[in-house]
Amino acid sequence: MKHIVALYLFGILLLATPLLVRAEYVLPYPSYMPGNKHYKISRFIDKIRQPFYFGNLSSYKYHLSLADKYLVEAKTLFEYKQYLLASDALARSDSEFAKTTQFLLGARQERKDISAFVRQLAQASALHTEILLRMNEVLPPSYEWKPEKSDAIQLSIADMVRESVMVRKNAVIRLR
Amino acid sequence: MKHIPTLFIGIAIVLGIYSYGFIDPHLSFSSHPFYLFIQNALVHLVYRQSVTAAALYVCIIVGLFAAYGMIMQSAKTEKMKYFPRWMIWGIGILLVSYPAFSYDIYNYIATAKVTFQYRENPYVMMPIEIPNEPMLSFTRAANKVALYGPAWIVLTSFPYIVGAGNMLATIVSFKTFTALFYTAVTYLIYRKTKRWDQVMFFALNPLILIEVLVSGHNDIVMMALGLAGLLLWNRQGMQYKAAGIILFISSVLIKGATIALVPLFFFPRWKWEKKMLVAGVLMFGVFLLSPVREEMYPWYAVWWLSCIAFVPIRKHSFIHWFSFWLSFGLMLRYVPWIATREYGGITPIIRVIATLVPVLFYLLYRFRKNVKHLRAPWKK
Repeated sequence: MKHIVALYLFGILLLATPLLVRAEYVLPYPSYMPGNKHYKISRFIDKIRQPFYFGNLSSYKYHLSLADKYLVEAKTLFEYKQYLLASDALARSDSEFAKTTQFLLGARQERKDISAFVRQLAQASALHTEILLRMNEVLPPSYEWKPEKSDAIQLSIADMVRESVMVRKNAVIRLR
Repeated sequence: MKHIPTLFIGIAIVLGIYSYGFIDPHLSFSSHPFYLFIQNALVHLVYRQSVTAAALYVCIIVGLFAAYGMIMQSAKTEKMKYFPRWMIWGIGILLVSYPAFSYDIYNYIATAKVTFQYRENPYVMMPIEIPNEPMLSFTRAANKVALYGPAWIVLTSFPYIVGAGNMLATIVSFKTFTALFYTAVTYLIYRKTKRWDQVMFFALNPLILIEVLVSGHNDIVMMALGLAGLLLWNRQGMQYKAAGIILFISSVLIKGATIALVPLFFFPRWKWEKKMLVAGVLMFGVFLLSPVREEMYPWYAVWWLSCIAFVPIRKHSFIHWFSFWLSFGLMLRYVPWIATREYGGITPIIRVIATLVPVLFYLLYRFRKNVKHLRAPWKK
């Protein structure tokens, strides 16, 4: 009987405990990849969309969305061993991620409450870092890319990934 | 006929006072003890005795439509030569009423605030993303980016600036802004028809008065620009045609519904009355399709009512009396919500019944009348 009562009380306690629901930061699905006929159009649209995102917080959203998009592009290309194209996409993602901070600082100067966006950026930074570190485990530290009609290019992938992680860390630190 | 204006103004005053019962609990326009006493009594009526509040609403609507119907009837017999000055009092009363039946005006203000105060793109930033914004406590649909076109957002800069950050002043300035376009449509009807009965058909319709002057819906702005655009397009001279196109595009960039009127630009030889009849039918078609997107909101009736008003009112005019009864039915859609304060449950089905019953009764009456009319010559 005691066990039944204990189980019942435990059940009640379990139901009464509020469930904490956390909205995880989610990256987008991969978009068009280099070589696809829509890729250039997609990149062009990314550029012409910029003036539409006026305002510091809107610009922050724009640059973070591009940082996400290009990181997913880089990850997919690395998985397909397209190291040169992947490095380019990763560099673009880094550049976009770095820009987010300046817009959030601009918003703070305008006395806008940016706490929610800082939290979001920290989540994005954590997720980006996690993906980068996971990629680093399977990728070669360096790679010699030999294009068909030009000289070979030495890609130091490990350094690149380390650099990308630093960009993300610094972006969050700058906002503290 | 003598006492109808008094009746109309009296009901408008009751409606104006009654509307303050719907004030959001997080909002108060004054801390004066007398104001607070009245507001608390009205809020108690609307929120605690909701069935009584719904009954009072029905009485107001029936009274307004009865007065409107009497005015329309007498307009046929007595020649209306002048615009009744008491109408201006009515407009004034309704302008200072509380936007009781819709939260859209707060949405307009919140979007204007995101754009002009926070200087963010309202199509990217939702009002809810601006923490500690005081408007969030009483703004609905704050979790949506701008719902209207860029022309509307640009236009809202005027009432938003006039409001100078004061909520009451901003609400009144937004309502005054839409009232200007209501006046513009009324003027266009008079200018084109020179008939006061047609002007009254539009300007005194309780649905128009409530949705435009009480709730401050932007549909009237869209229609005013669209109709002005079509009128200018009809005139000779490139400058008029260019202005007409600009106004019409602005109209489409407010809410998009007037895109249905584009075919009318390709029939320059049609008479204005015919154009407006077709415009009324087209806008009515868009109105009927509105549940596909969201819901058949009563203020969407502004679209076709403002076109139908240009069509001459003949004896037993079907479209005008149909519009009358459908307007009445649409205003009854608020009754289940006022009575239950619920959007779900049985509210949607009662809304449909409330809208259709007056219209079906009218159609039945017309059908019987037509049958009698057909029998009459045979009886002779």
